[in-house]
This record gives sequence, C-alpha cells and structure tokens, in this order.
Amino acid sequence: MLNLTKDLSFSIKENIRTIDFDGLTIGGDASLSFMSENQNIAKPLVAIEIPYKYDKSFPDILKQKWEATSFLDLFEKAMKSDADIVSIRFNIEEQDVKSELNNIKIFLLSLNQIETKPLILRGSNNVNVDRILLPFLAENAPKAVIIAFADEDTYETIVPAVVKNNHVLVLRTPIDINLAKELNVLSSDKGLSLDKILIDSDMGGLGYGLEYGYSIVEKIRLAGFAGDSMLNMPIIAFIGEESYRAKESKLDTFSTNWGTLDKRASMWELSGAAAMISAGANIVVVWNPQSIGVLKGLL
Amino acid sequence: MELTGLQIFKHLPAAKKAENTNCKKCGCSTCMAYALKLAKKQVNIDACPFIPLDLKALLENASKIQQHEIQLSDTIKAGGETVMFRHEKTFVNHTVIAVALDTTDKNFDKKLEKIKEYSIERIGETYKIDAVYLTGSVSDGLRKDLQKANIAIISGEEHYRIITGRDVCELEVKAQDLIKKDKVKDIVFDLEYSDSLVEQLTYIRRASILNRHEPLTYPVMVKIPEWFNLLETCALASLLICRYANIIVLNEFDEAMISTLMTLRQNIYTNPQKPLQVEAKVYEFNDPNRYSPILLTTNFALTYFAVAGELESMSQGSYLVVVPSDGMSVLTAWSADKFTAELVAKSINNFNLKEKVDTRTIIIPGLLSHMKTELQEALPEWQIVVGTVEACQIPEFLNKGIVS
Repeated sequence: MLNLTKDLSFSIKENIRTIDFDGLTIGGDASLSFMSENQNIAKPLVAIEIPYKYDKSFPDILKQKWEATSFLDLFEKAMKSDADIVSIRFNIEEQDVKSELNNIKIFLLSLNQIETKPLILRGSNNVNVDRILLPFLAENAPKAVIIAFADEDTYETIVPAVVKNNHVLVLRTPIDINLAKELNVLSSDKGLSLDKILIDSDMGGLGYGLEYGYSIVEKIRLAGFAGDSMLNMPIIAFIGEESYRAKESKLDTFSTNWGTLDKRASMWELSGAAAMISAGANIVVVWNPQSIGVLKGLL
Repeated sequence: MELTGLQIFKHLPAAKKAENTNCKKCGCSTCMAYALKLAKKQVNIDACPFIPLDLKALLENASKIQQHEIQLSDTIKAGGETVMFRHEKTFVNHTVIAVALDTTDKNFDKKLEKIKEYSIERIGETYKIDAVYLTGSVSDGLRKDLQKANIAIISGEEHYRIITGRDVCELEVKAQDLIKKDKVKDIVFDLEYSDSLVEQLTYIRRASILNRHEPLTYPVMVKIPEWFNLLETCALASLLICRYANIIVLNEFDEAMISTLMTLRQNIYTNPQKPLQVEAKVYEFNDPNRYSPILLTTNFALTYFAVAGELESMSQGSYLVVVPSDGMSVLTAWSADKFTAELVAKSINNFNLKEKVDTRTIIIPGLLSHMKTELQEALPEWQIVVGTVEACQIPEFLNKGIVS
C-alpha cells in the first residue's frame, strides 16, 4: 500500500506568502489546487467586478442579470452578493480623467459612511489614465484596498502612493515568468513590501491563448513552492474581462452546436475561472454575478 | 520518464573512476558508449557485469508503465499520460467527454441522434462527442450503430473492468485484488464524487506518473453528480479537465456546455513547446481585387483564425498579411521583439505585395497603435492605418469604408 503523506505528498520548501487583507486571508497555499494534504487549505477567493461607467460598453447579457439602474445601484447589488471582494473598474476615457476625478472622490468619500466588502480599485488599462488615476485612488481610498494594476510602464508612479497608504498592489506582466519576477524586484526596490504584492501574469481568455496564462501561473506557483522569494506571492486572474472580450461571449452568430449566447457566455467565464483556479490563482475576478455562487460552491 | 545516457553513465565504473573502467566486456569501447546504447535500448542491461544494483532498480522502474492507455473504441483512447503539468510535455490523450444515456429511456433514440450529429470546429480541428456512458442493456445493433458514428461505448460490458471507489486507498486495494487474483489487464477507475475529488485525482495521478505504482496506473473516469445543475457541471468538468480526470461523464447534453468544455480541452492539450501557428504569407479572402483592403497580423494560429473568420464572413474581398512571429499573439510578439517594424517591412517586401495590389494602405492591429510611426518610417511607400483592437470589430471597421 502507498502511504499518502509519505509517498504521494507534494514536497515544498516554502508556503506561498499570506496577505492579511481587510479580514481576508489571501494565499498561504501549501499545496497545489486547494488540496488539504498539508493541513493548510488556501481557499481561492472570488471577486465580482463592476464598471464605474455603467454604459453601453458593458455587455447587455450582464446588464440583464444585474438589473441595475445606475452605477450606485450596481455597487449596492455587488455589495449584497456573496463575493469575497468587490472590484470597481474605473473605465474612464483619457479625455475625461481630469473632469471625473472629483466625482470619484465624492464616491470614495461616501464609502467612509458605510461598511463595505474588501475592495479592489482598478484602473482603465490605459497607461496615461492609470498614471494619474491609480495614485489618486490610492490616496483617496476609504481603507486599505487592492489597487490594480501597475505594470512596467506605470509602477514607478503608482508604487509610492500605494506604499504610503498601506494598500496591496497588483503587478501585471505579459505572460512571462521572468518579467513577473523582475517587476516584483523593481517594485520592492521602490519600497513596496513583498507581502503587499499580488501577481497578475496576464492571460488570454478561454479559446484565446488561455493555456499560456495557465502554464505561467502553474510555473510561478511551482517556483514559489521551490523557495523563490520573489515569486511566492498570491496570484490574481482577471478572467471576467478576458471572457467577455471573446466573440463567443458577445455574438449570437454561432451555429446551434455552440449553444445559446447567454448560456455560452456564462459558461465561458466559469470554465476559464475554474481552469485558472486549478492552475493556482488565489483570486479570480469575474463579471457575471451568477459565477460567484457556482465558483464558491465548487471550492 | 526514460533515463538519459548521461543519467545512466553516472552510475557506471568510468564515471566513478572505479575499477573496471571501460573494461569493454559489454562489447562497447567505453562505459559512455554503453550508457548511450542502453538509453536507446540497443544493448541488454546484463551485458555489463559490473552494473550497480541501484542503477538496475532505476532502469527497472523507468521501464514500468506510467499510466495505461485503454482503448475505448477503434480510435478513442483514455489515459497514457506521462507528465503532471502541461508545460513539461504535451498531454497525450485528451479528456474523453462522454454523455450518460439510459437505453431504456423512451427518448433514448432522440437523445442519441443529437449526440451523433453534434460536431464543432475550432482552429482547424473538428470535435465530436467522444463516448456515451450507457446504462441498460446494449444491443448489437446499437453497438454497430455507434461504432459507425465513431462514438465509444462505456458500460459494464466492455473489455476492461470498471472499478468503483471513493478514494485512492479503496481503488488501490480493489485494483490490487483484480490484478493478482483475476489477472485483469485493462481497468478503468470510476472515482465517485466527494469533497476531496480533485485531491483524490491528484493522488492517483501522482501515484501513476511519479511512483509508477502498478495498481493505480489506470485512467480515471468521473461522473458528474446528478444534483449538479448545468453551470455547476460546467465549472466542475472544467476543473477536472485540468486536474486529472481521463474521462468525464455528463448527465445532460447541452451544446453551450460541451462547446465550452471542448474549447478548454483544446487549450490545455495543445503542445506547450510549439504554439499553434500558421504559415507566414499573404492570405486571400473572397477573391480580392487589386483595390481590396490589406490587413496585417502575426502568425499565432488563434490570432489568424480570429481575423480570418471575420474576413471570410464579409462580402468583400480582402488580404491578410501574416508576419512570421514565432506563433506569438500580437502583444506578446511585440514585447518579445518578434514583431518589429523592420521585420514587418522585410516580410512585405518578401511577399511582393506591391506587385499584387494597387492599394497602398495597410491596416495594422489596434493593439499595435503605438507602432504606427515606426512602421510608417519603415514602409515609406505604404500608408499605415490603425485598425481595431478586437477581430470581431473588423467587418464594421471595413464597412465604414475608411480604407479603399
């Protein structure tokens, strides 16, 4: 007979780092795929992401699920959901940044009056916007939050504000383990604590190169277990955004063998999220409110 | 994993500078030559009289099967895996997707017909339902019918034995009995659902791949519990494709779910060393004329098929220039210096594009808008226009007639 713990357990040098964040424990994994073999079960967390500009850029099939009348309504509904974290995506156009900052400040101030779930405050994916917006969000956040994300082009401007206000920072690199490590080192040189980093190694959605992101997450996780102190941070995957970019989640022009759009879009996100969780993601950020319950049930 | 010549050599007298170094008794001129031949199985292990016991044990272990491959039909196999992670080596036999059917169900024929007709195409590959998991008696006619449709039957009446168990220990004990007492060779494990399902699957896969522990070296089937709804089924099945089920049995046939799972499976089972890529050349869609628009992208298969699909669907003709970029997607290629202005210019000249068309406009991917000036300088005879970020926006973009 084989002995489970002796013969089959996965040997690791070090656990993944733990981030204690707003009542949540992120990371701390002692094994792959949320196995319980080494006692410490690190449950992946589910974040629901909502757009600050609740306009026509947001998919109709998701609007139907939320039934929200405005961003504030959407925010309230997200707060009432079962998600562990609520992520607000400040999808602001470059020409509107300056004029929007005041409105954003008013919104963030209003959060001081209420109890909120742990928060991710996320930029627009536009370097010129994020250089201004992300330090601003870091300065004006109502409590310690996760700021997402800094990359090679923006970390120098964003890291100081994050450090000063004691937030957690997502560092994004383009699907490459060495670049991920390098940005961790560079950000740490700028004063960011290694225990305040979430790795986002970027990814393609299901059917659009998901396997590359998947394998990089697996490799980063294995490097962390092997004791690489610059790669043993928890990992976050923004699967919702990638899923709803796919043609399969947008268009109704597929043959009947691809199923109906609404169902397919929901499944596209769920399948990608489940895959990234199995690869080692500690936080999956989804767009479809239905995904929250299903993923939490799965874990 | 097989041992390499060098790994074998380390144990031989010459590597240890011990007595009998390069004694030639094996018939090879040196220990190194023997090691290399042994790795290729061209000489017998007993040819060397001084072979150490630890090497013998290593070689014996290396020759053991990691995971048995079970033939479910003429063409469909389950198992045969050799690694734990897809980045190590391509997974061998893609997860078999099976649908459960009861032959006594009054709608059986209708349900079967749908399964038989199901087929999707993605990135040049066609996928069908691999198997049906049948309960109730299986008639010869049905058997023939399914054989013709190239759908495997999984049932208790096949050439392999199905062993049901809740965890790795139970399966190990049952398998050991069957192998020893009944000399059974082909086994499929039927692992029952539990809270630690993925954990059990991981243990079984490690026991087979890493430990080569004979009683556990068989493919594993998981039946999705009946109380799972469609979305839950989709999420669990996705997890199982990544984490070590060889066969997944679905209770319900749903097109959206099956196409989603097959897409994930295609992703996970691609060769990790060689990205899917297409030939770098100028592709033509819908008989383009000398004034049809020209688009440009990388040779990453996913990028190509996404763009090609859109161009094909349009009524007007177009050209797609595919630049060699090691099969990387647009942004990855750009950040890895595989998509430089110089390279693009070189390709366009090599393809003799100027002779083919009278248009002098090239549309580049929206993701590369920052390269516009650079490209414009490298291609002074062409006008560079920034196109769309998403492939699905291409028809609208072209229909607007921005480009002649």
